[in-house]
Amino acid sequence: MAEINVENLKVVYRGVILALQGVSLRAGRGEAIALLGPNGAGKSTLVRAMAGLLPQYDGRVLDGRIVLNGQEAHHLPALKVASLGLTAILEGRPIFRYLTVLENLRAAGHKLSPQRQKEITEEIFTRFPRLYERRFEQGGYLSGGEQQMLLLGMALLTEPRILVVDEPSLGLSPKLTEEVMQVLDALRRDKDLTLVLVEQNARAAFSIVERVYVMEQGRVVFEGTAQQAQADADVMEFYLGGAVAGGFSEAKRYRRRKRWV
Amino acid sequence: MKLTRRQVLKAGLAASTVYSPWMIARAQARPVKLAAILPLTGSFAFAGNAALEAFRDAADLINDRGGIGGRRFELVVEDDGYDVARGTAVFNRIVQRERPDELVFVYGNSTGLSKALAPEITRLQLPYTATSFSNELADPQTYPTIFVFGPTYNDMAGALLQQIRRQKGRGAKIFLCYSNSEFGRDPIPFIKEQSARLGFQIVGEEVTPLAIADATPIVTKLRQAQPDFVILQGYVLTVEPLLVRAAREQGIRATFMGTYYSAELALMQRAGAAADGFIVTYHNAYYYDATVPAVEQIRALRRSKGRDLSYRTTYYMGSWMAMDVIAEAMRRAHAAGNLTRPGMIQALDTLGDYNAGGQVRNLRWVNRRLPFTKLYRANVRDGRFDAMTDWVDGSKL
Amino acid sequence: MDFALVLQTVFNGLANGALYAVITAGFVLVYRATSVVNFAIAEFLLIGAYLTYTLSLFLPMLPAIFLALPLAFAFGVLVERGFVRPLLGRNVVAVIMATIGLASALDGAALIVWGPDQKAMGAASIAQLPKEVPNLAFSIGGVFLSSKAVWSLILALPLAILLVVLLKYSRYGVLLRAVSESETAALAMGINAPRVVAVAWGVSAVMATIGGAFLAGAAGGGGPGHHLVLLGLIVFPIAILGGFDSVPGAVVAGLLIGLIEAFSQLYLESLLPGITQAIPFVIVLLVLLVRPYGLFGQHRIERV
Repeated sequence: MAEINVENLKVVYRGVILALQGVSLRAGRGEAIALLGPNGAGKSTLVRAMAGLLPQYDGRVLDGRIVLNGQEAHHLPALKVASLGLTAILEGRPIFRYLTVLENLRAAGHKLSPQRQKEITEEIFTRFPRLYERRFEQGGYLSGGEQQMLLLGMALLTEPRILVVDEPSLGLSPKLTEEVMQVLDALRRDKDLTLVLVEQNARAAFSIVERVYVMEQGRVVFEGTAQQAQADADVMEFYLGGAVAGGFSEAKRYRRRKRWV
Repeated sequence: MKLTRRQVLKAGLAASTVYSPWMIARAQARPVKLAAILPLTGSFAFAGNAALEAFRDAADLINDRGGIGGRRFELVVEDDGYDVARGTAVFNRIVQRERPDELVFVYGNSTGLSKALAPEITRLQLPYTATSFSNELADPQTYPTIFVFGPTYNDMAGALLQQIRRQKGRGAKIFLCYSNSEFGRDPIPFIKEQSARLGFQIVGEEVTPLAIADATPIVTKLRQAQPDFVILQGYVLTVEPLLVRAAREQGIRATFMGTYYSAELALMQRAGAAADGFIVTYHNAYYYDATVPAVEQIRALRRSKGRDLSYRTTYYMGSWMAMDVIAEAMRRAHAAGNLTRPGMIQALDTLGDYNAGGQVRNLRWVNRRLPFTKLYRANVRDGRFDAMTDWVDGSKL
Repeated sequence: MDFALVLQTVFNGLANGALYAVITAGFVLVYRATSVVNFAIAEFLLIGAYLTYTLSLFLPMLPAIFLALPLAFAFGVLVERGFVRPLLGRNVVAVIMATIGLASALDGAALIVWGPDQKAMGAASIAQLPKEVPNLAFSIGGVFLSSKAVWSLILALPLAILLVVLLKYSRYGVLLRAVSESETAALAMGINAPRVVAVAWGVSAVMATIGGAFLAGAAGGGGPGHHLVLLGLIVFPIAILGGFDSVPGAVVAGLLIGLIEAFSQLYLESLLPGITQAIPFVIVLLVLLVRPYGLFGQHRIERV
């Protein structure tokens, strides 16, 4: 049974703006998949929908369904989704900036017993020694990479089965991006997580996922293994900017339309 | 059935026109109306609602007895929340809506509101009184239609000064404590002027907001000034209990004094034993004073209507008195064939020895106010104010 | 200057300030948790005082106060659920108008439930004398502390400080600060943001009730009534002075304003009548000129 099963999902914002136009996606237990595509393709909307956070953005599921671990989840509130074992790290590095590193971790691990919380916090500090050094500093003063590590640490403290990470590489140097990806991969293996990695930076994502979905204008336009995607010249050129992060020129956009619409 | 009831919902309180079922069958004649702008909400809601209750009771009595010469007596009540701007708007609405031949009297409230309305009241030749006893309002030359149904704050202060003269005489040391409002400041110049004349010494003066959180700094000043008397003005049992309580705790032995708005039993309820000996002026009857015919009348009416017979406040008593007097003036104006605004003024001016069931000494206006009051002393053991004097003329010093 | 007098003024000012502090701390807590400026805070004071009054009719004063606190908590939660939650996400003006409306509604409700008459703690009928907490007034070397001052210092001040400590160190405190930053991020981490927010409102009502009970004569000399609403308005300058989003700031600013008021009433009032009423606002203005975020306002973390 698939751990994540999204079927024909349609999402609107403010009742009118159709952000997802029938998206389907699956991920098996312990699988890592990537969700690729340019800005505005609907990736973050899908993350919000999976996390039950659409109401926070004045959005709602119009049609289709999300099944997490066998349970219908598309109409569940965020807290229920969280209790099903899905933790989403939203775009924009949403740490609590006025809380110290330790407080951020406490907030995330609030449901755990003090003992368990301590164990996991120690594990986090072993994985990310930088965080330990800066544990009394406010999250807002951490570097982008440190913030990303903190978010991963916080996610670990929720003891998820499914981890959805939105754009972890944003604003990070290639070296740091590489590091974050390695950490994600290690976490997935160690914790037996189902991982949904949402990225614009396709090359970074390819290194740690088995399968990829490419989105464009609220639709999935490609589905396949990482190897298939990398081998598909069209996908690489039109959607993934030649596997270079960001950068879609107007000319490419025009050609893309011509072919798909 | 012609339904004449009109309900005005205001801040959750129904302010309604009072009528008697007896009248519906009978009166085709136009009703005669009194408009009351009352603080039914806000800091003076205790007074406004007591007044409304008294007005309704009095109106029932009037209509039970056939109205005013067969015309139904109606109340037009609106809330102004003790806010001058709101009160002014309400007043304008009322005078525009009501017919001049029906609305022959307006009853207002604060000193501030009364002063704000005075020019317009004068222009409309509208008979008016208020729960304010401001000295400025008792001025028939400037405001020929305004009546103060009792002594002014100056008269009340005068009665207190008379007591100080009796109790201590020349050299008496007085401390003034008053709220930073028209109400609080009203008699202060008079007190200072008269004190100088009478050889009293003003040893301290304290201005505070209407409500304070703590009286300790004032008591500290009392300790420094060592007054014989402390006169409080412009509060509604918000500061008095706090101050006497703190003063007694700190061993201040001065005699505390207040005027009409301090003369309510809640003073003792709030201040407890510290209130004992607090001297106040009060110019109507207390509800527990069974020798006063008006009290018997009120009790009889409330008994007949099945209404609560427990203690009614001074604000109730004062409002009942005002209604009693106004109704009497209406009857006389009607008898004279002139139940109009000018007719009312004439009738009020000639009420003479009418005493509203013993609630006032008489209705011989002096500058359109009744300068007589009585002095009372708080008796905490009995939970009452004991009369110290009979009627005294506060303007005679 | 008389040293005993200064000392006494300091203590009484602080005691008064403690009441301000406890009320303002609760007010700021709500602002932190929800970014809602509760314009009905003065009515929270009123309702709290009346709840205490009602219980005091049946119980001695001290148990009445303590029993009023859970009721106040429930009241705060109810307000949040009924009035505030449905409006979340609406624009700021709508929420402000709603809390102003709430203030009027609560005023009216208090009038309907408890009636307009002037009341005193523990006195059901006009014949009864008031109840109060045990009299702890004392005098040492010319320094006098009223019962109300002592109770404020031993009850309200520790409570205000406890709130600061809990907010800083307790699990719920951390969660509340997390929610205050971003409800969405908190939800994503499985934090029950709606419950945290409701608790903040409940706690705010509890704090207002402690302040309201003593301002309404729980330690003698006063009674519940609409004048509490006038007293409650002091919350706004204090909150601004403290930085508006800082609970420790509210506590310090509350104590400070209490002190300044006491000294102003003692020394400045005779020179400039009415100054004591104005001085909290003057202080706020002066402080904001130098420190735009107030004394303890959160400086925005801005990283590029």
